[in-house]
Amino acid sequence: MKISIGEHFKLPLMGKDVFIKLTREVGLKYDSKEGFMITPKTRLDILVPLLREALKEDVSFVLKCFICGKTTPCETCVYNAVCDRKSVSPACICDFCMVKKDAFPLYTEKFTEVSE
Amino acid sequence: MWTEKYRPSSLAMLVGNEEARLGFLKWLKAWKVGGKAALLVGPPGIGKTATVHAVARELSYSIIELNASDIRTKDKLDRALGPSVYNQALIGKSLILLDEVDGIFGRADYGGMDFVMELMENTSVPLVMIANAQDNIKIKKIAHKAETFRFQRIPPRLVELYLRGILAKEGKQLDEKTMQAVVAQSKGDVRSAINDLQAAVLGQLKIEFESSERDRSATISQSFQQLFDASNPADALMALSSAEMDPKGKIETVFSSLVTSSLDVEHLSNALDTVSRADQIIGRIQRTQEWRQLRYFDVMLAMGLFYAIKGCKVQFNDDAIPWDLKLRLWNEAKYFAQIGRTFGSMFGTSRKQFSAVFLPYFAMIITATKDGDQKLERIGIDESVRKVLLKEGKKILEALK
Repeated sequence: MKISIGEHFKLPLMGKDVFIKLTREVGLKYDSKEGFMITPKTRLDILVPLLREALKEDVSFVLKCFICGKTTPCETCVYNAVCDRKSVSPACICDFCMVKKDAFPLYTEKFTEVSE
Repeated sequence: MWTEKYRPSSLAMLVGNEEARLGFLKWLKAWKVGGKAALLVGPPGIGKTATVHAVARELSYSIIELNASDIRTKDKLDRALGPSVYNQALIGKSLILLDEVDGIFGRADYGGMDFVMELMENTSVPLVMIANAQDNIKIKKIAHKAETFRFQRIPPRLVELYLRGILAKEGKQLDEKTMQAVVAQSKGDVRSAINDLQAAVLGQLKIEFESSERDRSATISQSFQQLFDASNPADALMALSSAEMDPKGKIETVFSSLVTSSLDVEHLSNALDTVSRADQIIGRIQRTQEWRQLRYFDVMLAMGLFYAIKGCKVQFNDDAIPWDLKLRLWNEAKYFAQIGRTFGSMFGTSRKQFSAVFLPYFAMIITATKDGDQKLERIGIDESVRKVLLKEGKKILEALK
């Protein structure tokens, strides 16, 4: 399962106990319509093993590229070890956009486009 | 300074916190008299103040800026802001910016909080507040009544994107590893990343990605030992900056390490002079609440210390009391407590005050007095206590000679 930082995500029904753990111990934000969301208070170190165990599948995080809108995996990022994903702002830049020579102008153009 | 040179000229020139920046732009565009105030919260160096300035520029607002830490009391705030708050015609299209608003609500809050709450409801111009602490109860109270925009640290890749933009404008290059180390070390603080980038480009900072990660996990003692053993000023600065400790703590640790190491008088005097100047900077910052000056603190202390102790061996020690003195204090503490209790009541003062203020003079006088020991015995002082008191008096008299 890939969890996009800064966006809501849904989980299958996993029982009351797991839900309580996710919202109280792990610190996930829950909205009955939108689903779960990672906040700066979320304990990612507990979340990953808990979901792995409950879902019986691997769990990884992704950030959304602000320029192209595609999700970019955190595992392969060179800053994976130093990026505190739960306390950084949600948009990032994917490898493809990063290597472009005009990456920064593209970023500012995109921001201007969104702000208009 | 590149931080000044590349101060963002427009909102689009900032990186990260896209949602918060857009939200603030939308808020100011839509603001009408009677509208909510805005609160921007988040850690330092991530573009809160720059966002306000950029948005104000884009929407042609002039800014009446107050560093709220300077004006903690209701009276001072009222005097500084009064006319602008209630008369829009007088000041034109302006917004009020209260930077570092958490500074108002320290222990010495003399009505500042009430004034801000009142201001939020009655202002005729947009009121924007900036705070670093989000968990402060009073900030939460403000956040409840204001439109709150939460700013988060900038993802490392966006910091790198921003730094690459600067390098392109400067026509400079930096190897991949150093760039990654600068980004990793910044921990999402763009301002500090730009400073490190400039230092790295100018060759004043040599760091490696692997070592920067290692340094982060290094303990405080390791950081300080690296500072004392540094072979060049840049390493000294790196070591001091990596010690995760507040400035006062850094001063105390450097001081205790210096005084407990066997430095010769000249080196010790020069090093203590640096510590003293660093302490003065902190004192000045606390007085004026100009916390921005803190950015010079590490540089000043690390550089000064590097040249002061060059070629000398200083050992990390976070305890300023030398071992022999500590041993004496343990052994004689109960006697000093007894002296304080006995003579404190005789002199009509507390035990603590007698020990702290009168004891040295009393010990000196009684030692210099003829038959001092017998006089003490006559008023019922134990032999062991008398011995300690006379020994102390003797030491003081010798020191005075």
